[in-house]
Amino acid sequence: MRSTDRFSDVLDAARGGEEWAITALWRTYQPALLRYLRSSCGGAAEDVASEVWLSIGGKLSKFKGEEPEFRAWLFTLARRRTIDQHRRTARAPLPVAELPEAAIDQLDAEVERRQALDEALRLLERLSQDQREVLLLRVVAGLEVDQVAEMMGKRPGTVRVLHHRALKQLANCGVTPGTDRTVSQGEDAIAA
Amino acid sequence: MRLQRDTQTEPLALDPVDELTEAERLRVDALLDALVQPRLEFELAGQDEAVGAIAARVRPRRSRPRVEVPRISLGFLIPRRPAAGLAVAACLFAATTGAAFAGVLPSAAQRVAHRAFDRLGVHVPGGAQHADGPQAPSGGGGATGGGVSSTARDRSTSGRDKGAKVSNTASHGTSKAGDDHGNPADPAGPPEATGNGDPAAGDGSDNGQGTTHSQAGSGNGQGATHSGGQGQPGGGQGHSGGGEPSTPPAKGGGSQSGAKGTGGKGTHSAQ
Repeated sequence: MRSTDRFSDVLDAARGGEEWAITALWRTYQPALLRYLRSSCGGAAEDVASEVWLSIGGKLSKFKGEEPEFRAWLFTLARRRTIDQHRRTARAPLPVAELPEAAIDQLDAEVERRQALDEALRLLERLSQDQREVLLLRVVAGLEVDQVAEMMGKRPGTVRVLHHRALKQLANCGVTPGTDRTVSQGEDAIAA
Repeated sequence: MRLQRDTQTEPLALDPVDELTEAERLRVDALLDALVQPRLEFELAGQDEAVGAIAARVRPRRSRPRVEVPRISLGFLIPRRPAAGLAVAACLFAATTGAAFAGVLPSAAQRVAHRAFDRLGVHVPGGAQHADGPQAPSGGGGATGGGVSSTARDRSTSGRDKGAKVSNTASHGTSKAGDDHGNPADPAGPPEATGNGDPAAGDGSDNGQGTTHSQAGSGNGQGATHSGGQGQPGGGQGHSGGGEPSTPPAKGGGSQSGAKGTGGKGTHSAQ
């Protein structure tokens, strides 16, 4: 989305089926959506993201609000889809999806960033489901405490506590994503 | 992303920064930075397909073909100019009034016109005169069902006399009902007239019996109507004396079925 574009203008154009506007929305929110879903749905993240976007497209004409409301709406739909996905699979969230092989061919910097992202998402698996969800919605989705509280059906104070505990637990895990290696990785290397 | 105190928006929030060591803070910062780093290329894979699918979901509402429903324009009913409208209205009124005076309007409309003009003192035929059934022949002397009905309702007479009166009214005095034709109830006097008449001379069918007087005159006698002496094959029922076989049936033949009191049933079935 170009900085000169007002969000409402882009949204209006997207409602009218303008591909440039839909592309702008998709490119802006897809990365965060995919990261949220990769942590929540594992390997089904891309499929669920597609469902979310199709749902967005179908209901876009009825949406009213600005950028914060749109962001909250997007992740609300994503969360519902995640719950549906969990019901379908009837099991715990899948491990973080592995990167496609094509990633190897990309630039080193890109690869490092992707590895850091994967490692961070993998670390989130150590959190409880509520902690992980609060952290993702607050950090990745960029939602306010009140929005997260409403989305999760919890009080804002509870959301703050969950957020705090999540950060504390991540700080104690002894891993720095992208800059350090886990003990298990070192062990694996030695064993190899 | 750096952990920062947000005391303005979250004054009561627990501040994790205070509880973290420097090393822990660096770790958390690195983790959060990894989570919110700029988009990666692989995250935008399949952009064209995704945008196309979304646009397809958005567009149907916009590009749904409109179904053109033909509209019936009633504009022709609205006159373009007031003068023309007045002229049309005047023509319609004149035509309707003329039709009302001619009595050719449908019965309901004719009755309405009758009442409306009656208030103005202008006589317009009522719809009842030709509303139901065939109209009374003019040759019948204008005896209407209403007249017969009122006669039938008259309680000043009863029995045979009343029947004769009704029959006379219906036949304009030509009926011979009530004449002494003998006593039909007398077993000693068998009917004589049966078979004397020429069946071809007149049908003499008496279809006014019973129904006519049972409704109008509360069961006034069978003898009130007669067939004018016209014998019926196998007839002679209640007609002793036979009367005048050669006499053609009176107009109306004494048989009439129009005494139902509806005012419109004054038909004469005698041929």
